[in-house]
Amino acid sequence: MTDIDVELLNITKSWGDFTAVKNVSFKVKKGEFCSLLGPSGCGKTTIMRMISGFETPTEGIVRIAGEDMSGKKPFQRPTNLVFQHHALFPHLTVAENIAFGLKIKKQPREEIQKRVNRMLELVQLPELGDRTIRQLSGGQRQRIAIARALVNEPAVLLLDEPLSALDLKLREQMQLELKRIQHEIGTTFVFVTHDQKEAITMSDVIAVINEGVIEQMASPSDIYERPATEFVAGFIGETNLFKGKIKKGSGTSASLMCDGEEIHVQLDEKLPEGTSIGVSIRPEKIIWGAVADEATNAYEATVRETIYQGNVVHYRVVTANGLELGVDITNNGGHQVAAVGETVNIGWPIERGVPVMVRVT
Amino acid sequence: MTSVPTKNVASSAEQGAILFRRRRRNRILGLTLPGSMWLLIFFALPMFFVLRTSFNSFADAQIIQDFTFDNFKLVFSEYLYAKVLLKSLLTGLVVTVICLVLGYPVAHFIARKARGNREILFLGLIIPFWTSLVVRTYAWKILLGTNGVLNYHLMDFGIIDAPLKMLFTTSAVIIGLVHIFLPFMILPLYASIENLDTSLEEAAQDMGATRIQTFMKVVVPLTMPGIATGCMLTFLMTVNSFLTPNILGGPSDAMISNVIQSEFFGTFNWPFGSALSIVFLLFALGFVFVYNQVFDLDSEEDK
Ligand SMILES: Nc1ncnc2c1ncn2[C@@H]1O[C@H](COP(=O)(O)OP(=O)(O)OP(=O)(O)O)[C@@H](O)[C@H]1O
Ligand SMILES: [Mg+2]
Repeated sequence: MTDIDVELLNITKSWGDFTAVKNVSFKVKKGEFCSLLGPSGCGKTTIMRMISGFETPTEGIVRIAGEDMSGKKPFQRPTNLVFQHHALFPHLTVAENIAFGLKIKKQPREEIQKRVNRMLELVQLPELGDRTIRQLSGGQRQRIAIARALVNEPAVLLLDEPLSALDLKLREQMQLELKRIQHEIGTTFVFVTHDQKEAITMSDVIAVINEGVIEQMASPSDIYERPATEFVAGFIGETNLFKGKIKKGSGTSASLMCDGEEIHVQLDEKLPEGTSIGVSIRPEKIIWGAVADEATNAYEATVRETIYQGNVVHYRVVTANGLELGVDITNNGGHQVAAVGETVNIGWPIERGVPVMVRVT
Repeated sequence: MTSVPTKNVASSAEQGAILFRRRRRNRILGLTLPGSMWLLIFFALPMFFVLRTSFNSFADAQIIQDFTFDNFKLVFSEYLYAKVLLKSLLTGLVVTVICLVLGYPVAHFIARKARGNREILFLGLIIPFWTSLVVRTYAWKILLGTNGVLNYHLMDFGIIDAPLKMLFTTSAVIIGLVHIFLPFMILPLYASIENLDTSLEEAAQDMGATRIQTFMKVVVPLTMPGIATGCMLTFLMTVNSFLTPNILGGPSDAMISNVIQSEFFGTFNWPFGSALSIVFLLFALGFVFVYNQVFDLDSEEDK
């Protein structure tokens, strides 16, 4: 037994000249909630379909619960997939839908009955067993789809954007519901989404995918606080990204020039002079007012735009040399809203800026 | 007092609605008029004459204006006609089953597997319709005849010594009918399979169903409307067929239409031919009615 439930080893998938997934490797631990996050068309569904057996990788190996899945058909794998559009059978009732997998496996009738009822309770729809699929609301359908997959007691539950068809309110409710279900049964979940907020609130670990490549795989807080690449920094949340070449350095602290301003940054490891690099600083991590003067990176800037959003005030400011930044200030009562054209001091301590890899073109 | 004007407003709005509805109805009537006239002149009137004629009597090669049930009595009392009817229904059943078994894989293939060459395959289905039915049926005569292509080659290769009797047999009729009606089975099946969301099939497999189990438990039930429509079309057209049994079949392969034709133009016994037609029409209507009830064809399709 291993404690790794899903393992992808150098997986590549191509159709003709087009490569949708490029040399992807990752591991998901037993009982973990792992999200695959990325923009549309980045290869999330393709990865899921290779795990569940609907596509064969052009290269590489998929292991589930330690076992090599090469050559195994979908019906031979210990995974179950929740489809984007639920894919419930319209000719069967809710209970028959849930019982489908158990009937295929020729379970005794009382056993099926018992497990179907337990699943209906798990998704909190115990009354609906006799309904047809058409008589369910969108949220109810997704719950039944989850119940239908989970009743088979898979080692891994794969969910391909199961909530994307729901409206925001219902979505948020279903996110909590999914977390609760996962907590209750402890199955490993691999969850696909293109919604960064959804990934951050739900996951134990997030794999950020871009153009078929995993850019970073880490916990939600690491993904947000320590983005590894330009893409991750930009895709998750708002950020200011300054790109330049490393000018000089002593040890791991270095600086670069961007739009005429010098920016100091703390590197994870020493890099040679002239290396292209980016620095990401979140708008809410920038200090505002006279205190900013003491920070390593301190600038005098002019307010170009003020967007009052109630709980926060969003500013766009530009420094004397033309470096533009976004700044979010919490409207905590102590903040005096600045008008366009006002001159302000802004800055941030060196450790708040995160060095990120940039694509060299 | 205040209620009076409100009532007036309501009633004038109602009048407007009635006027609108009436105008709409007039327009719909106008649009359906040509079609209705066509049906009236070329369907209802002839049907009426057939119905009227079926109550006439026939003596000394003369139709006598009359009102008698004798023709109908004869249809039901003469064993021959029941036999022909039964034979027609049986042929219909056999041809329908063969078409379903042959047609389903083809329809499935076109709908699911053929990506780029779907158009070509469709063309292949449609092209035979550009040739007359007579020509296509005669082609089978050339293929299956005693001195036909098939016998020639079979003897040439030394597989058989004497020509096989293939033409003028029930098998020849069935082969010809399957050939002609197969597209009518494939097209509704195709439409139905094409409509079926692939993720439903994948969901079944994901839950442990093999290909065959997926087919039996998901694909077949969900393409039932296509299966039902295809079978009904094929069955009705087969049972009604006239030309194929006439050209490819022997005397014992005559179907309803052949018997009716020989009454009309062989013995010129129009009254009896009419009675046969009416009985057969009622049979067909009854069949369609029961079939619709069973398969629920008229109801809205599930989705
Ligand atoms: N069967 C196929 N043949 C050829 N290309 C395909 C096939 N399936 C997917 N692709 C391509 O692979 C790429 C990745 O597709 P995929 O469905 O994995 O994206 P995704 O990340 O799930 O996007 P979305 O968020 O829109 O669902 C896309 O460019 C798509 O066009
Ligand atoms: Mg997708």
